[in-house]
Amino acid sequence: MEEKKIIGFCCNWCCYGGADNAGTGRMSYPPNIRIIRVMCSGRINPDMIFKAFHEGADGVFVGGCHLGDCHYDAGNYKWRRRAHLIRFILDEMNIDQRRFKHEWVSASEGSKFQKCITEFYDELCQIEE
Amino acid sequence: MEYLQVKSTNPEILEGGENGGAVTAILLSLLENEDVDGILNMKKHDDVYDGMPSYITTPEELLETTGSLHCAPIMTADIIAKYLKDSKIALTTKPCDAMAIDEIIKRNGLNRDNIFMIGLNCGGTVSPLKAEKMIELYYDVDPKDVVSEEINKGKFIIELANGEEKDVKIDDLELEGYGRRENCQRCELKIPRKADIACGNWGSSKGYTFVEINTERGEEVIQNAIDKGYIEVKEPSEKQVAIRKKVENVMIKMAKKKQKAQLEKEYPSPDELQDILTRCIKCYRCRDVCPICNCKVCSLEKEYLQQSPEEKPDPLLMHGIRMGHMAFSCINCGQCEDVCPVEIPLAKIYQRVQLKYREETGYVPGVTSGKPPMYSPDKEEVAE
Amino acid sequence: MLTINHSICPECSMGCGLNLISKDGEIVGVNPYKNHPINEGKNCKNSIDNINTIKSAPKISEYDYNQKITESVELLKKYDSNDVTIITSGKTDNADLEKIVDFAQEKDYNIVAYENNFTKIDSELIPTYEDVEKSDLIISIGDVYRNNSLIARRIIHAQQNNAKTININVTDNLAGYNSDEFKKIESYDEIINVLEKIETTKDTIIVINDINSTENYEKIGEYVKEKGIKILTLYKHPNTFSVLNTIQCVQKEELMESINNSKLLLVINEELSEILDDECLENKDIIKLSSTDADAIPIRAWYEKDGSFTNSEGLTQEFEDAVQNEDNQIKTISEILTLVGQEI
Repeated sequence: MEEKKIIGFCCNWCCYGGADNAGTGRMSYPPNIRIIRVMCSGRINPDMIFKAFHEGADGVFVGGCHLGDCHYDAGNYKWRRRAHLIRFILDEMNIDQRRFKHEWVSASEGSKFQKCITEFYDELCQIEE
Repeated sequence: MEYLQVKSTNPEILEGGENGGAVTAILLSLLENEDVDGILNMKKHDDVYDGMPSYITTPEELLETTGSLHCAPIMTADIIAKYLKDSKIALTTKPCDAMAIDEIIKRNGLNRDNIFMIGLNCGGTVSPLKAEKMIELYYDVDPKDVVSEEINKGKFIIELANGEEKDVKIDDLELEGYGRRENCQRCELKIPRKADIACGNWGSSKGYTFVEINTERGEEVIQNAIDKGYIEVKEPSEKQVAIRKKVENVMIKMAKKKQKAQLEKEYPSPDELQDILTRCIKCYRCRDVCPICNCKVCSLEKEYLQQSPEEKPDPLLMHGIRMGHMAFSCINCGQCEDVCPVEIPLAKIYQRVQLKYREETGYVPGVTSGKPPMYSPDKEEVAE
Repeated sequence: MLTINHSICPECSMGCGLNLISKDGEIVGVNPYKNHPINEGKNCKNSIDNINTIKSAPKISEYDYNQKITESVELLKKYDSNDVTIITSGKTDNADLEKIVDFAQEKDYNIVAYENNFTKIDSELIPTYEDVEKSDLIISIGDVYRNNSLIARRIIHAQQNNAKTININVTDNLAGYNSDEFKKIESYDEIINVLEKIETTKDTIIVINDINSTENYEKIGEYVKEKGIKILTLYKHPNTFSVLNTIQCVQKEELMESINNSKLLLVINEELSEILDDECLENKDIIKLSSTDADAIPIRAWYEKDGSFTNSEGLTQEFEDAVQNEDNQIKTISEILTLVGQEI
């Protein structure tokens, strides 16, 4: 089976820190994820998600700050509405919704990051089987 | 003063108007009293199938625009947003125009203070060429002989040069694939309540236009027209208001039924849809005519989202992205589908996505006030 | 003042309708012409690109013709009539085309046009657009989807009526992806061999918009006649149909030869640099009439005048001045040729 590729967009202030935290805490998670650091989940637009799928990503993960914790006040609220829409569009475009996941991970939640990515990877492996 | 029955005092307007001539009379009062620089209205160009948006600055021209044109499915919102942004204008708005203007205002594309919206209640429009074919087939009339048309009591009625009228039930026409445009059949907004006033004939006495007043400015405009003698008014009875409400409700129910049929039962399968989307030539016409699309720089033309002309087009990079920018606000005006050269059922795809988004967030484009649009920084509680 | 008027698309020879929006005498946009029988308000990318080019191009509404016309007359007087060649194209509308042909005849000048290797086709071999919808086998040659989307729409309608579709092209292309069968060939020289292998039906229609030589195009014409089927050619210009019927249309090599044999070229509505190397134009005197080239003698563009184009079906459609700018002093081709003709 070919290696699964996951593109992970992580917000600089929380989720990227969370991934770092997982790393320094030596918590292992599937190496299939390629992390792209963005300044805020509110900066991620549907174009980027669709481009990732177009280029052959098996899964796309987006991690932002918990609601209320956004460094820019409301970026993650914007992202949450956008995520709803993206899911419906993927549906229409015949792409399994499960290949797209988003989660709130704070900079101290290394274990949550580990858990998220592991679960996401396992789910992706199941989809095609 | 929420509901009124209005009749023009000008015999010429009464003659040409569909009911009480309220729309033309009120526009005339706005124009003659210099409340506006001009008026954007539909004008008969070659025949009743050729409605042309016209920018009008004189009363004489205005009088040529009386009467309905159901075979001119033209969107006026993007014309004013693109070309008449800086003028103070009045325009007639079908519900889709009114919804579009509301969405454009949310995107800071128009200034509501600059526009007087005279709403037209609307049961739907008909594609002009389809109308000609339909009149030939089901009315047994040369389409060129039709001098005017109207939709009333579920019938599409045509009037011939010799004064003769002929009608056929719209339901029967639609069963055969004629009648209103498909997006109109699915449209749930029949009375444009975001317009200053909404005019129509449902529930009205003969020779009067039934007007619902939606804004303070609408009230002012009406009062002015009364004071200056452009219109005379009478209150509708409770029964008339109830009749109007009933007509509206029946039509909304019908629209929901059509949504189910067209967006679920008859909707192409995912594989069929992928095949259909492969036809896309990326002409961007759907974007050009979309009243929601308002950006100065369009994502669709960004370098990193291009494919070579020899590659098989990936719908994600065209319609995926387009929907990512507008589907939450899609008002189902059907313009995209009308102009698509390769017959992609765009309005259906977009409306399906919008309806799902609506269910999740409660956002009804062009109608909801107070709910944040998708890109808004507002925080709101939504069930995860 | 904002006005919207009907017009005809100047891009290919499909003959689509188009509503032009103009403000203060200049084109600012397009609105769908929904009751035009050919395209029902639908337009393709080429059409819109064309209008956008017009929108962004600098406008002139005044020009001092006297000097230019005197210069042109002097040039025309200087040379023998058989040293003068007029080159025009399908961008010229019917009335102007007639005027050009008359002018050439009167003065005994040569006249040629290059129309992408296409030549005249017998009218009984040409189907209507409606015939395309009713056909049961459509063979498309070239990317008719991308370049002539409104005929692609008719092909899609035919497909919905269960017609079979085959695309033949030298590259992968959108028409290929959307046809039942795609035959990729090395070069159009093979085209006739590929066609011979297809089992045609009575209602088969060939839709073509690309070919590499007149010879190959004429071979296809022979094939069509032999099989008793029809052929619809989508040309690159709106009035090519009329040009093919009135002027000798040549291939690139022949065009080059005509240019080499002439000393003065009268180029009307044609961009030679898009067809040929600039080298062959060296040492030639050129009088150029164009609505888009700032260095040429300006003429009215199609949207600034009344006229007519004849489309691929052979249908002539009138159009009116879509801008109606009364301050526009620019002259039409006919007016300029009349002035020049009087002087010689």
